[in-house]
Amino acid sequence: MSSSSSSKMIELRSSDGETFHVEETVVLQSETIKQMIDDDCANAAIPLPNVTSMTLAKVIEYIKKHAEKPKDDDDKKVAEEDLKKFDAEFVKVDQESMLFDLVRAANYLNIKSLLDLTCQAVADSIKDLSVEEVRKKFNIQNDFTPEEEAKVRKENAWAFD
Amino acid sequence: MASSEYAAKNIVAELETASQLRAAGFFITRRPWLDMYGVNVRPVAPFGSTYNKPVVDSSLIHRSLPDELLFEIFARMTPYNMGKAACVCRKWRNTVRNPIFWRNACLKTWQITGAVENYKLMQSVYDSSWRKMWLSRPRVRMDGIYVSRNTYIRAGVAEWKVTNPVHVNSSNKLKDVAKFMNFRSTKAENCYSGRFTISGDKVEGALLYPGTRPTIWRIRLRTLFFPLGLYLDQFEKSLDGMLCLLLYIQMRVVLMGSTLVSSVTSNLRYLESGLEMVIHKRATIVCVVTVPLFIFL
Repeated sequence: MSSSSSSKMIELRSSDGETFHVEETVVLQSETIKQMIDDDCANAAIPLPNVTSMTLAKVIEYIKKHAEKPKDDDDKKVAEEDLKKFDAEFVKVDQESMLFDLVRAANYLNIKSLLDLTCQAVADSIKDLSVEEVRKKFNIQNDFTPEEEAKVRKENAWAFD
Repeated sequence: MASSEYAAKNIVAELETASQLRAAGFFITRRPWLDMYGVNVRPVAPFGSTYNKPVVDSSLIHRSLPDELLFEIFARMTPYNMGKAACVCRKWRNTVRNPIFWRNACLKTWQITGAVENYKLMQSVYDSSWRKMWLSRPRVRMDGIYVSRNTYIRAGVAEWKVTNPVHVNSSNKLKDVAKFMNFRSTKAENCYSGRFTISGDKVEGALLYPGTRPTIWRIRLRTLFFPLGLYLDQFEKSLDGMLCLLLYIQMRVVLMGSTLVSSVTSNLRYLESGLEMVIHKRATIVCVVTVPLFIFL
């Protein structure tokens, strides 16, 4: 604990070997890492074998932004608006694989707000799509037999009106 | 002599191997299942299928997200989107079967009833199925608009002809609502916004009626909208004196402006044809008057 309290910087190592230095106060948003620090396992670089450097950079960008503390009440409102905007922009990623990576990373690092944000983004991305469009978007094969499909459509007909 | 010596030697040798085996068994316990850690085992496909073909899911979402994260995503969908998602593929259908989703949907929709009461209702009325409860218990949908159409029934005046005259007068057709929607204006004539509460199968609504002073209207209606569609027999039940019809149209279509209004109108036409069927069954209807159409946003 002595070394971490003196520097207050935590070192994270992604799956491809890149290291990131993040302040302890920021990184505490991750329950997983908080646990490690509490257990005094964070003196050396924390290896994150499930998170690539690209994803980890994104995650750090997110937790850094969410660690900013507003000074007074006026500032708070502005900061809240700002944070909402940031979140909306944050999930607008070019590749859907990035979004899935973020979902996985948020789950692994146990950052609840990020998991909420990214899962909601995936859920929202298909909310106005038809069944065929969803299949096309995610490249999902229709593995129903025609009879099964007719049955499942009938069971869920209420969802389409 | 020789044979007994041989036997004794044999026994000793046998004992030795036994003890060796025991020792080996004690120190090196074989745990074949340890080798299975980290190995994904697929269920054996039934005989005759393409079981020896490695199954690679074409979909990125399935390859990159484990089932529990797919669950997390589904948990953030509305029940309507979940119903649609169930039609996408087998995996999604099986995911949506999880009663936790339907329990959450029920507890959210009928918060006012209380969790304990909801549990009891689910067990006693809806065969212990949350999904069934969500589908068949009447509820108010807040994601759409409601059109009220009030109909008065008056005895017709029989003149010297045998048959009574039938006048159908609809001043505000449902199609007009679509026209109002086109302008996305709640200030349009006869369109007002309001709020609902529901108790049993009765809907209690309050709406701000514009005028010189704001007026609160309170109405008590039978719920005529059910999630599975409009039922004619329910229309029939309320055919006494004054008819109050609550017709439901989805707001999604409305909010998108002019581009999707065609789907509003097609919806309305469907509703209207349902209405006509009711009216035609009642020969005594002389006059159909449509009074305020109001919209709950």
